[in-house]
Amino acid sequence: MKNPVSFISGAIRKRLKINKRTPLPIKLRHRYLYILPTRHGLVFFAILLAILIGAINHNNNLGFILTFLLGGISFVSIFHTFRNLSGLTLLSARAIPVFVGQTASFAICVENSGPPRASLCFNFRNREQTIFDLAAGEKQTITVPHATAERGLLRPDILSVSTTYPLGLFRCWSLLYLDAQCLVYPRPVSGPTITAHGLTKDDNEGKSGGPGVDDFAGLKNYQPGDPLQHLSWKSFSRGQGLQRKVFEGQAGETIYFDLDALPGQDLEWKLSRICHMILQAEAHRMAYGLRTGNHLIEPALGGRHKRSCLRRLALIGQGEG
Amino acid sequence: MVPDRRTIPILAVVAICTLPHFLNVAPWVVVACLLLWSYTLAAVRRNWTLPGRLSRGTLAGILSVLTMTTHEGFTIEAFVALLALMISLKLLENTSTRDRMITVILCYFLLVGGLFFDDSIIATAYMMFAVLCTTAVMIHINQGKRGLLAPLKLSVRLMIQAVPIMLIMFLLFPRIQGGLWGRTPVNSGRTGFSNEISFGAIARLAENHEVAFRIEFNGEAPAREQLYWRGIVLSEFDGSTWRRGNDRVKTVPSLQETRQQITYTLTLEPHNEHWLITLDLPMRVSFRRAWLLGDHTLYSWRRISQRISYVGESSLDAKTFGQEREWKKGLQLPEEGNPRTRELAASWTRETEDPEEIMQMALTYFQEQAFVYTLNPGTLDIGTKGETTGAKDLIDRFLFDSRKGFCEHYACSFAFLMRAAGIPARIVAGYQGGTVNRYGGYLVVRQSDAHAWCEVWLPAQGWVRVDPTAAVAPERLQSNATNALPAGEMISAWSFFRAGPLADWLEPMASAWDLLNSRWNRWVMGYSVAEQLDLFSRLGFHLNGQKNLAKRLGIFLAAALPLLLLAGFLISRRKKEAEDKVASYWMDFCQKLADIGLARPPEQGPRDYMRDILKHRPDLELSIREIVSLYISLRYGRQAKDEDVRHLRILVKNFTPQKRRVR
Repeated sequence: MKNPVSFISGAIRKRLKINKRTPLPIKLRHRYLYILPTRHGLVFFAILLAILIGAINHNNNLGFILTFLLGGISFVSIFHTFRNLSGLTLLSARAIPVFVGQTASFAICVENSGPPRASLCFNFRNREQTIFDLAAGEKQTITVPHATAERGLLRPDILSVSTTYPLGLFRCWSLLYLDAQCLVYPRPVSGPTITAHGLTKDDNEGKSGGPGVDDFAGLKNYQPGDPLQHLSWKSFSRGQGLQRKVFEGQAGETIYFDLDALPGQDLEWKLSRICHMILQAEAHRMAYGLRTGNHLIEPALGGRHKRSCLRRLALIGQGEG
Repeated sequence: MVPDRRTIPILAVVAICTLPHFLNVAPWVVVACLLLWSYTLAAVRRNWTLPGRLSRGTLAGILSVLTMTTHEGFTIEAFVALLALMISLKLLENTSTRDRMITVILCYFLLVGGLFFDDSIIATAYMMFAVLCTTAVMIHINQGKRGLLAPLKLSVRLMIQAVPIMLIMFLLFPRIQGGLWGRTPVNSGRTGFSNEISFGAIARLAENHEVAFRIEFNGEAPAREQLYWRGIVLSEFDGSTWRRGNDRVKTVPSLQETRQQITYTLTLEPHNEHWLITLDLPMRVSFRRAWLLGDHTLYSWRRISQRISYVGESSLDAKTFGQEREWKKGLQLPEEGNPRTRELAASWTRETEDPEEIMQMALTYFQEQAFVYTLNPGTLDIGTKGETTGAKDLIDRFLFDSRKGFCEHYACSFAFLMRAAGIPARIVAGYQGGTVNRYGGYLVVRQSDAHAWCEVWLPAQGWVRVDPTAAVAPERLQSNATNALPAGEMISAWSFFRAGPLADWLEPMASAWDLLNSRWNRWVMGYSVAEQLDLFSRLGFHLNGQKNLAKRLGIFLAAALPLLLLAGFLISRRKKEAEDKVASYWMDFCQKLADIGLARPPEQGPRDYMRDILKHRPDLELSIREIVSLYISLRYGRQAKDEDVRHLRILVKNFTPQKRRVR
């Protein structure tokens, strides 16, 4: 039991069976919010009790006044702390894919329809906190870090939304199982590049060659997702609209990465290796295709292609594909 | 470890909370605190590396030992000094939010120490100010931004919201008579005379203008010459000092022939001694923890360390004969010393045997010889002829050589003369006179009104009050000591304000201020069990008997809990009201349309609703368009302006659609 607050909140969560994912947007209302004294609050109340006992013993009315004034301030601060969080709306949460071991950053869009809020603290369990203020009516996107342990679709841990503002004597918090996800690619592991050419002739027959990077083959109209490096700025400046240069790789140089072609039994290791090869190929601007089992991604190049390949790697064996 | 700029507000708060204690703690503590603060400030400014854990711990140890040895035992002063030092030391270890929070929370604790020394209005106001600053710094610690203005504003708001809670708790929280257990004594010097008097003891008080007590008379106040406030009776003399003595007669002699009885309420400021002050001669007093002694003084078994208030009944003209033991004690004198005084008394007894005549001769002696009433009698240790005659013949030297003295010189010499002449005599120390507050109508007696006089036992009249000072300086009874003294002797700020050219301006202000203090002491600081029972009976709870603490606790809880919940409800509700005003006007608008048969389907938004209505009632287009567009901009726009909300209210109020007439 490291932290009594997290222990108690965990117990409450278990009791209320809050394990269902909360769909966004969500407005934090009474039923999502808990409030308890912090450790400083407990020290404060111990001191308040000591003052009260002293005041009773000495029949000191000024002591009573001080005790009740401080008691009143801390009591009032409960509502200020509560109001600082109550009514906050979490609109959306999304995250850019990361590799295993990297920190996933969930971008959470929050909206404040109420009064100004200060020192709001967002954090996933046992991760660093993101602290920010919100003006009245402000909408803001904040990033909250989350650890990644394995590839696949990361469903975030419990998000703790908390505040101790203004006095730090009470902590108001809400625990949310956000219905969000982050794609986690395998961890790249370096090694020799192993390509598979053993594709049937039929696959290449009748084509002048797969799309590659070597030979300029003409211009095509730009479509969203095409690699930006290949944009033809010259034709754009001539007023011909956005066009894209098309290259052709030589027949023999189209490389395929094949999961089954890699030696070894450990699937995760093989995925990590291929992940690394994809990044290498992309860095060297060499078109590549990916074959996993009987699923094939045609050779290509560019961000979109890389992402779809990595996505494929991330989701193998996870029932989503 | 390098200090943080955020330490500076905390340092300021520590200083604010420690300052009032500087009067009560040992001087070296003040110096140590100031040094620690300057060091912290310099370290923050210059980015010095702070001392490590070991040196801090060593310093803390040294300071604790020093505190315990320089203060007498574990008194409140020692506690306050230790706390102030440790908090100042803690400033050097201000790296995390946790450190900062603990430092600030301890500041609240430090504030409490001050309550034991002073509970005046000013002290209370200062405490409020200190709480305000401390709370602001606490907010500052918990916010990300730097500025101190916003925390101060919020702190004021928190305090304003907390005040009603404080008042209710203060009035209803059950008070316990006498406290829980013994009290730590407060050693800070309470002024007043002690239980012995020697030359110079009362003159020392002459420039002390602290209030000793306040009196409200039920009915007419007696004449000023009769306002002798009885404190203690001293009947043992050792040649230089008059003492109370340990042999006390507990049987109270009955008063005879009382005609003029006076009832009054006296509020006594704490003087840390055992006696109560009463108007001469007391008959009974409504203070349970004190008893009347044979010498007509009131003795409390606890030291008066808090302000107390009691109703007294006194007789101005009663006769008391006392017990034989009492007046026999009034004849005791040292074996030798003051031979010239003894010779003077013997010369009188040779002339007559009537004690009353001898008494008159003594008073005449004081009047006819060149005695001077003065605060500065000069030293009496060396006689006029240059020979040192030892400390025992002080009365001789006063009566025959210097002849300059304050009231205690006259009282002590007179009592000695009487005893030497075989007439029982004793000294009474107390106060004489007082100043009437022009607004409150009560009487204020200050330490500077302290006085000593004599009582002489005459066979026919019993103990008779004789004031030899009055024979020398009759003005003393007409006004206060300051005015009876020779001109120029009391050149203090006080006498300047009292008698100087500003007096006419300042006197009303001083009176009003004293009235305020008196009311504060009586109603706020004096609120206790009796007042609480009175309040409860006014609220309809009649609690009698001894065992009402549980009932009072019950009432307190039953009343406080709903009130607290109500307070919380009000605080958390406030912002929502503003938010929902727009909605409520919109509802009014929809209701008005529903009344003419154009109700809004629940799923319809404002735009669709408007479109549907306009199909039926194009004649209402102008007003409906204005309301709907304003509503949309208020509800979905970026910022709702107050004036727009008001405008919407007016538009909706003036919107009165008529039903279309059936043609």
